[in-house]
Amino acid sequence: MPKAVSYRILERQEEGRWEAFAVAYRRGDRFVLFAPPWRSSRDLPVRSLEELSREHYPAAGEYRWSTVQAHAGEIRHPIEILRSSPAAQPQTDPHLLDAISSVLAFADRSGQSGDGPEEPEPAPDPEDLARLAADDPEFGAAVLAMRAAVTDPRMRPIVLQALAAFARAAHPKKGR
Amino acid sequence: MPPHTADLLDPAKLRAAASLYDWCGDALGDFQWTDAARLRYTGEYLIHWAATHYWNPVLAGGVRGYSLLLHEWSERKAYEAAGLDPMNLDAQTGSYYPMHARALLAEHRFLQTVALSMGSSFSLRELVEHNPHGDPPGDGWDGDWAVLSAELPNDLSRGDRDSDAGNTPLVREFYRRLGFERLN
Repeated sequence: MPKAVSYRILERQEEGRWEAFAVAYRRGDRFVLFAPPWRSSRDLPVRSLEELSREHYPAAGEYRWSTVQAHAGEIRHPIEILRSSPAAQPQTDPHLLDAISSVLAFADRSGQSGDGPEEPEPAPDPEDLARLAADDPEFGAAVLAMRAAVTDPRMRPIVLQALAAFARAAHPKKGR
Repeated sequence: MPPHTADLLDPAKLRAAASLYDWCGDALGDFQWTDAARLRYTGEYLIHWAATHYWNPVLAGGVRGYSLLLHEWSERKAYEAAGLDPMNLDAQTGSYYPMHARALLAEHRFLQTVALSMGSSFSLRELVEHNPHGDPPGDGWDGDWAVLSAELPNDLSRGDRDSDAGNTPLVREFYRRLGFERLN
Protein backbone atom coordinates (compact mmCIF):
# COMPACT_ATOMS: atom_id res chain seq x y z
CA MET A 1 0.00 0.00 0.00
CA PRO A 2 1.75 3.20 -1.15
CA LYS A 3 2.45 5.84 1.47
CA ALA A 4 3.37 9.52 1.14
CA VAL A 5 2.46 9.62 -2.54
CA SER A 6 3.63 12.63 -4.52
CA TYR A 7 1.24 13.83 -7.16
CA ARG A 8 0.04 16.72 -9.31
CA ILE A 9 -3.59 17.48 -9.98
CA LEU A 10 -4.64 18.34 -13.52
CA GLU A 11 -7.46 20.86 -13.34
CA ARG A 12 -9.91 21.42 -16.16
CA GLN A 13 -12.08 24.47 -16.65
CA GLU A 14 -15.78 23.62 -16.72
CA GLU A 15 -18.22 26.47 -17.27
CA GLY A 16 -15.74 29.01 -15.95
CA ARG A 17 -14.69 27.01 -12.91
CA TRP A 18 -11.49 25.06 -12.35
CA GLU A 19 -12.12 21.51 -11.21
CA ALA A 20 -9.82 18.61 -10.33
CA PHE A 21 -10.01 16.40 -13.42
CA ALA A 22 -7.10 13.97 -13.14
CA VAL A 23 -4.11 13.09 -11.00
CA ALA A 24 -0.56 12.36 -12.14
CA TYR A 25 1.45 10.04 -9.90
CA ARG A 26 4.10 7.34 -9.97
CA ARG A 27 2.90 3.77 -10.44
CA GLY A 28 5.81 1.35 -10.29
CA ASP A 29 8.42 2.51 -12.77
CA ARG A 30 6.01 4.75 -14.72
CA PHE A 31 4.33 8.09 -14.25
CA VAL A 32 0.65 7.89 -15.15
CA LEU A 33 -2.37 10.15 -15.35
CA PHE A 34 -5.63 8.90 -13.88
CA ALA A 35 -9.02 10.48 -14.62
CA PRO A 36 -12.22 8.88 -13.28
CA PRO A 37 -14.05 8.74 -16.64
CA TRP A 38 -11.20 6.95 -18.40
CA ARG A 39 -11.05 3.19 -18.94
CA SER A 40 -7.52 3.19 -17.48
CA SER A 41 -4.59 5.42 -16.63
CA ARG A 42 -2.46 6.94 -19.38
CA ASP A 43 1.32 6.73 -19.35
CA LEU A 44 3.12 10.04 -19.08
CA PRO A 45 6.45 10.33 -20.93
CA VAL A 46 8.25 12.08 -18.07
CA ARG A 47 10.89 11.17 -15.51
CA SER A 48 9.51 13.40 -12.78
CA LEU A 49 6.29 15.19 -11.90
CA GLU A 50 8.11 18.50 -12.24
CA GLU A 51 8.51 17.88 -15.98
CA LEU A 52 4.76 18.00 -16.59
CA SER A 53 3.66 20.89 -18.75
CA ARG A 54 0.95 21.85 -21.23
CA GLU A 55 2.46 19.30 -23.63
CA HIS A 56 0.93 16.63 -21.41
CA TYR A 57 -2.61 17.94 -21.40
CA PRO A 58 -4.90 15.15 -22.65
CA ALA A 59 -6.65 17.31 -25.25
CA ALA A 60 -7.08 20.83 -26.48
CA GLY A 61 -8.96 22.96 -23.98
CA GLU A 62 -8.47 24.70 -20.69
CA TYR A 63 -6.25 22.73 -18.35
CA ARG A 64 -3.62 23.58 -15.74
CA TRP A 65 -1.30 21.62 -13.45
CA SER A 66 -1.17 22.09 -9.71
CA THR A 67 2.16 22.18 -7.94
CA VAL A 68 3.62 18.90 -6.70
CA GLN A 69 1.78 17.83 -3.57
CA ALA A 70 2.01 14.88 -1.21
CA HIS A 71 -0.65 12.58 0.18
CA ALA A 72 0.45 11.59 3.68
CA GLY A 73 -1.85 8.65 4.44
CA GLU A 74 -2.01 5.14 3.06
CA ILE A 75 -3.84 4.85 -0.20
CA ARG A 76 -4.76 2.06 -2.59
CA HIS A 77 -6.39 3.87 -5.50
CA PRO A 78 -5.73 7.26 -7.14
CA ILE A 79 -9.40 8.23 -6.94
CA GLU A 80 -8.78 8.78 -3.23
CA ILE A 81 -6.23 11.47 -4.06
CA LEU A 82 -8.74 13.30 -6.22
CA ARG A 83 -11.42 13.03 -3.56
CA SER A 84 -9.19 14.46 -0.84
CA SER A 85 -7.36 17.04 -2.91
CA PRO A 86 -7.99 20.68 -2.04
CA ALA A 87 -8.18 21.23 -5.80
CA ALA A 88 -11.34 19.12 -5.82
CA GLN A 89 -13.02 21.60 -3.55
CA PRO A 90 -14.83 24.66 -4.94
CA GLN A 91 -12.30 27.03 -6.38
CA THR A 92 -12.12 30.77 -6.05
CA ASP A 93 -10.65 32.85 -8.79
CA PRO A 94 -7.71 34.82 -7.34
CA HIS A 95 -8.58 37.83 -9.51
CA LEU A 96 -12.11 37.94 -8.16
CA LEU A 97 -10.88 37.42 -4.63
CA ASP A 98 -8.45 40.28 -5.04
CA ALA A 99 -11.20 42.51 -6.44
CA ILE A 100 -13.52 41.67 -3.56
CA SER A 101 -10.83 42.32 -0.99
CA SER A 102 -10.25 45.77 -2.52
CA VAL A 103 -13.95 46.56 -2.42
CA LEU A 104 -14.31 45.35 1.16
CA ALA A 105 -11.31 47.39 2.27
CA PHE A 106 -12.81 50.44 0.60
CA ALA A 107 -16.16 49.83 2.29
CA ASP A 108 -14.44 49.48 5.64
CA ARG A 109 -12.77 52.87 5.24
CA SER A 110 -16.07 54.36 4.12
CA GLY A 111 -17.82 53.07 7.22
CA GLN A 112 -15.25 54.75 9.44
CA SER A 113 -15.94 58.11 7.80
CA GLY A 114 -19.68 57.83 8.43
CA ASP A 115 -20.67 57.37 4.79
CA GLY A 116 -21.99 53.84 5.18
CA PRO A 117 -25.57 52.58 5.30
CA GLU A 118 -27.54 53.50 8.42
CA GLU A 119 -27.84 49.83 9.41
CA PRO A 120 -24.61 48.15 8.34
CA GLU A 121 -24.98 44.81 6.65
CA PRO A 122 -23.06 41.85 8.08
CA ALA A 123 -19.57 41.77 6.64
CA PRO A 124 -19.52 39.16 3.85
CA ASP A 125 -16.75 36.64 3.66
CA PRO A 126 -14.52 37.34 0.63
CA GLU A 127 -14.32 33.63 -0.23
CA ASP A 128 -18.12 33.36 -0.20
CA LEU A 129 -18.42 36.34 -2.49
CA ALA A 130 -15.72 35.05 -4.82
CA ARG A 131 -17.56 31.74 -5.20
CA LEU A 132 -20.80 33.58 -5.90
CA ALA A 133 -19.06 35.69 -8.49
CA ALA A 134 -17.50 32.61 -10.08
CA ASP A 135 -20.92 30.96 -10.36
CA ASP A 136 -22.54 34.00 -11.96
CA PRO A 137 -20.58 35.70 -14.78
CA GLU A 138 -22.65 38.90 -14.48
CA PHE A 139 -21.97 39.06 -10.80
CA GLY A 140 -18.27 38.51 -11.53
CA ALA A 141 -18.26 41.34 -14.04
CA ALA A 142 -19.93 43.60 -11.49
CA VAL A 143 -17.24 42.82 -8.94
CA LEU A 144 -14.50 43.70 -11.36
CA ALA A 145 -16.29 46.95 -12.28
CA MET A 146 -16.58 47.79 -8.60
CA ARG A 147 -12.88 47.38 -8.11
CA ALA A 148 -12.34 49.96 -10.80
CA ALA A 149 -14.83 52.28 -9.08
CA VAL A 150 -13.46 52.20 -5.56
CA THR A 151 -10.77 54.74 -6.29
CA ASP A 152 -13.40 57.39 -7.03
CA PRO A 153 -15.06 58.82 -3.88
CA ARG A 154 -18.16 59.74 -5.89
CA MET A 155 -18.82 56.02 -6.42
CA ARG A 156 -18.94 55.36 -2.69
CA PRO A 157 -22.77 55.19 -2.29
CA ILE A 158 -23.13 52.86 -5.27
CA VAL A 159 -20.36 50.58 -4.08
CA LEU A 160 -21.87 50.39 -0.61
CA GLN A 161 -25.30 49.54 -1.99
CA ALA A 162 -23.83 46.83 -4.18
CA LEU A 163 -21.84 45.48 -1.29
CA ALA A 164 -25.00 45.25 0.80
CA ALA A 165 -26.63 43.25 -2.02
CA PHE A 166 -23.57 40.98 -2.15
CA ALA A 167 -23.83 40.38 1.58
CA ARG A 168 -27.49 39.42 1.27
CA ALA A 169 -26.64 37.04 -1.57
CA ALA A 170 -23.83 35.46 0.42
CA HIS A 171 -25.86 35.18 3.63
CA PRO A 172 -29.52 35.37 2.60
CA LYS A 173 -30.89 34.52 6.06
CA LYS A 174 -28.79 37.10 7.82
CA GLY A 175 -29.43 39.81 5.27
CA ARG A 176 -33.21 39.67 5.43
CA MET B 1 -18.59 19.85 -27.54
CA PRO B 2 -15.28 21.29 -28.77
CA PRO B 3 -15.52 22.11 -32.50
CA HIS B 4 -12.33 20.20 -33.34
CA THR B 5 -13.96 16.99 -32.15
CA ALA B 6 -17.30 17.42 -33.93
CA ASP B 7 -16.16 15.46 -36.99
CA LEU B 8 -15.49 12.44 -34.79
CA LEU B 9 -19.26 12.01 -34.60
CA ASP B 10 -19.89 12.54 -38.31
CA PRO B 11 -23.11 10.63 -39.18
CA ALA B 12 -21.54 8.90 -42.19
CA LYS B 13 -18.65 7.74 -40.03
CA LEU B 14 -21.08 6.41 -37.41
CA ARG B 15 -23.14 4.55 -40.03
CA ALA B 16 -19.98 2.98 -41.46
CA ALA B 17 -18.86 1.91 -38.00
CA ALA B 18 -22.28 0.52 -37.16
CA SER B 19 -22.15 -1.65 -40.29
CA LEU B 20 -19.02 -3.29 -38.87
CA TYR B 21 -21.14 -4.56 -36.00
CA ASP B 22 -23.85 -6.07 -38.19
CA TRP B 23 -24.26 -9.82 -38.26
CA CYS B 24 -25.48 -10.37 -41.78
CA GLY B 25 -26.94 -13.24 -43.71
CA ASP B 26 -29.39 -14.70 -41.25
CA ALA B 27 -32.69 -15.82 -42.81
CA LEU B 28 -34.60 -13.89 -40.16
CA GLY B 29 -32.81 -10.68 -40.96
CA ASP B 30 -29.62 -9.02 -39.95
CA PHE B 31 -28.68 -8.73 -36.31
CA GLN B 32 -27.01 -5.54 -35.12
CA TRP B 33 -24.65 -5.60 -32.17
CA THR B 34 -25.05 -1.85 -32.05
CA ASP B 35 -26.28 1.01 -34.20
CA ALA B 36 -25.29 4.55 -35.10
CA ALA B 37 -27.36 6.08 -32.30
CA ARG B 38 -25.70 3.95 -29.66
CA LEU B 39 -22.29 4.72 -31.11
CA ARG B 40 -23.05 8.42 -31.01
CA TYR B 41 -24.26 8.15 -27.40
CA THR B 42 -20.96 6.54 -26.45
CA GLY B 43 -18.82 8.81 -28.60
CA GLU B 44 -20.27 11.92 -26.98
CA TYR B 45 -19.28 10.57 -23.59
CA LEU B 46 -15.71 9.79 -24.67
CA ILE B 47 -15.20 13.10 -26.41
CA HIS B 48 -16.57 15.06 -23.47
CA TRP B 49 -13.96 13.44 -21.25
CA ALA B 50 -10.98 13.88 -23.61
CA ALA B 51 -10.85 10.11 -24.18
CA THR B 52 -10.81 10.02 -27.97
CA HIS B 53 -7.97 7.47 -27.87
CA TYR B 54 -10.68 4.89 -27.10
CA TRP B 55 -12.93 6.11 -29.89
CA ASN B 56 -10.93 5.02 -32.94
CA PRO B 57 -10.78 1.35 -31.84
CA VAL B 58 -14.56 1.48 -31.33
CA LEU B 59 -15.02 2.78 -34.87
CA ALA B 60 -12.79 -0.01 -36.17
CA GLY B 61 -15.30 -2.69 -35.10
CA GLY B 62 -14.50 -6.23 -34.00
CA VAL B 63 -14.31 -7.79 -30.55
CA ARG B 64 -11.86 -5.17 -29.34
CA GLY B 65 -14.01 -2.27 -30.44
CA TYR B 66 -17.16 -3.82 -29.08
CA SER B 67 -15.60 -4.54 -25.69
CA LEU B 68 -14.61 -0.88 -25.38
CA LEU B 69 -18.02 0.24 -26.59
CA LEU B 70 -19.72 -1.99 -24.03
CA HIS B 71 -17.59 -0.59 -21.23
CA GLU B 72 -18.26 3.05 -22.04
CA TRP B 73 -21.91 2.60 -23.01
CA SER B 74 -22.59 0.64 -19.81
CA GLU B 75 -20.82 3.24 -17.71
CA ARG B 76 -22.78 6.16 -19.11
CA LYS B 77 -26.02 4.18 -18.72
CA ALA B 78 -25.15 3.31 -15.10
CA TYR B 79 -24.73 6.98 -14.19
CA GLU B 80 -28.05 7.83 -15.75
CA ALA B 81 -29.80 4.89 -14.08
CA ALA B 82 -28.53 6.20 -10.75
CA GLY B 83 -29.90 9.67 -11.48
CA LEU B 84 -26.42 11.13 -11.92
CA ASP B 85 -25.09 13.26 -14.75
CA PRO B 86 -22.33 11.24 -16.49
CA MET B 87 -20.87 14.47 -17.87
CA ASN B 88 -20.41 15.98 -14.41
CA LEU B 89 -16.99 15.71 -12.80
CA ASP B 90 -18.30 15.66 -9.23
CA ALA B 91 -20.52 12.71 -10.14
CA GLN B 92 -17.57 10.94 -11.76
CA THR B 93 -15.29 11.48 -8.80
CA GLY B 94 -17.92 10.60 -6.22
CA SER B 95 -19.29 7.48 -7.93
CA TYR B 96 -16.21 6.15 -9.67
CA TYR B 97 -16.09 2.76 -7.94
CA PRO B 98 -19.63 1.46 -8.59
CA MET B 99 -19.87 2.88 -12.11
CA HIS B 100 -16.47 1.61 -13.22
CA ALA B 101 -17.34 -1.79 -11.72
CA ARG B 102 -20.59 -2.00 -13.69
CA ALA B 103 -18.72 -1.21 -16.90
CA LEU B 104 -15.98 -3.76 -16.16
CA LEU B 105 -18.56 -6.46 -15.54
CA ALA B 106 -20.39 -5.88 -18.84
CA GLU B 107 -17.14 -5.69 -20.79
CA HIS B 108 -15.63 -8.86 -19.38
CA ARG B 109 -18.78 -10.99 -19.45
CA PHE B 110 -18.73 -10.33 -23.19
CA LEU B 111 -15.05 -11.21 -23.44
CA GLN B 112 -15.63 -14.37 -21.43
CA THR B 113 -18.26 -15.45 -23.97
CA VAL B 114 -15.91 -14.70 -26.84
CA ALA B 115 -13.15 -16.72 -25.19
CA LEU B 116 -15.50 -19.68 -24.73
CA SER B 117 -16.48 -19.52 -28.39
CA MET B 118 -12.77 -19.68 -29.19
CA GLY B 119 -12.34 -22.75 -27.02
CA SER B 120 -10.83 -21.09 -23.94
CA SER B 121 -12.31 -20.97 -20.47
CA PHE B 122 -10.97 -18.07 -18.44
CA SER B 123 -12.26 -16.70 -15.18
CA LEU B 124 -13.56 -13.17 -15.04
CA ARG B 125 -10.65 -12.21 -12.80
CA GLU B 126 -8.08 -13.53 -15.27
CA LEU B 127 -9.71 -11.60 -18.09
CA VAL B 128 -9.88 -8.37 -16.07
CA GLU B 129 -6.35 -8.56 -14.72
CA HIS B 130 -4.72 -9.26 -18.08
CA ASN B 131 -6.79 -6.97 -20.29
CA PRO B 132 -4.26 -4.60 -21.89
CA HIS B 133 -6.90 -1.87 -21.84
CA GLY B 134 -7.08 -1.86 -18.06
CA ASP B 135 -5.05 -1.04 -14.98
CA PRO B 136 -3.41 -4.12 -13.48
CA PRO B 137 -2.56 -4.13 -9.77
CA GLY B 138 1.01 -3.33 -8.91
CA ASP B 139 3.35 -1.83 -6.34
CA GLY B 140 0.60 -1.70 -3.76
CA TRP B 141 -1.93 -0.04 -6.03
CA ASP B 142 -5.29 -1.66 -6.61
CA GLY B 143 -6.17 -2.67 -10.14
CA ASP B 144 -9.52 -3.03 -11.87
CA TRP B 145 -10.26 -6.42 -10.32
CA ALA B 146 -10.11 -5.00 -6.78
CA VAL B 147 -12.70 -2.40 -7.79
CA LEU B 148 -15.02 -4.92 -9.43
CA SER B 149 -14.80 -7.58 -6.71
CA ALA B 150 -15.34 -5.05 -3.91
CA GLU B 151 -18.25 -3.26 -5.56
CA LEU B 152 -20.25 -6.12 -7.05
CA PRO B 153 -19.59 -9.19 -4.89
CA ASN B 154 -23.11 -10.54 -5.42
CA ASP B 155 -22.65 -10.52 -9.20
CA LEU B 156 -19.60 -12.78 -9.01
CA SER B 157 -19.38 -16.53 -8.54
CA ARG B 158 -16.56 -18.40 -6.89
CA GLY B 159 -15.35 -19.39 -10.34
CA ASP B 160 -15.27 -15.73 -11.40
CA ARG B 161 -12.71 -15.11 -8.63
CA ASP B 162 -10.36 -17.93 -9.57
CA SER B 163 -6.94 -17.08 -10.82
CA ASP B 164 -4.59 -19.69 -12.20
CA ALA B 165 -1.08 -18.46 -12.90
CA GLY B 166 -0.79 -21.18 -15.51
CA ASN B 167 -3.48 -19.46 -17.53
CA THR B 168 -1.61 -16.15 -17.74
CA PRO B 169 0.16 -16.83 -21.06
CA LEU B 170 -3.08 -18.21 -22.51
CA VAL B 171 -5.08 -15.14 -21.55
CA ARG B 172 -2.39 -12.87 -22.94
CA GLU B 173 -2.40 -14.85 -26.17
CA PHE B 174 -6.20 -14.58 -26.35
CA TYR B 175 -5.96 -10.79 -26.16
CA ARG B 176 -3.04 -10.67 -28.60
CA ARG B 177 -4.95 -12.68 -31.21
CA LEU B 178 -7.84 -10.22 -30.97
CA GLY B 179 -5.54 -7.24 -31.45
CA PHE B 180 -5.82 -5.87 -27.93
CA GLU B 181 -3.02 -3.55 -26.91
CA ARG B 182 -2.63 -0.83 -24.32
CA LEU B 183 -4.24 2.44 -25.32
CA ASN B 184 -2.52 5.67 -24.47
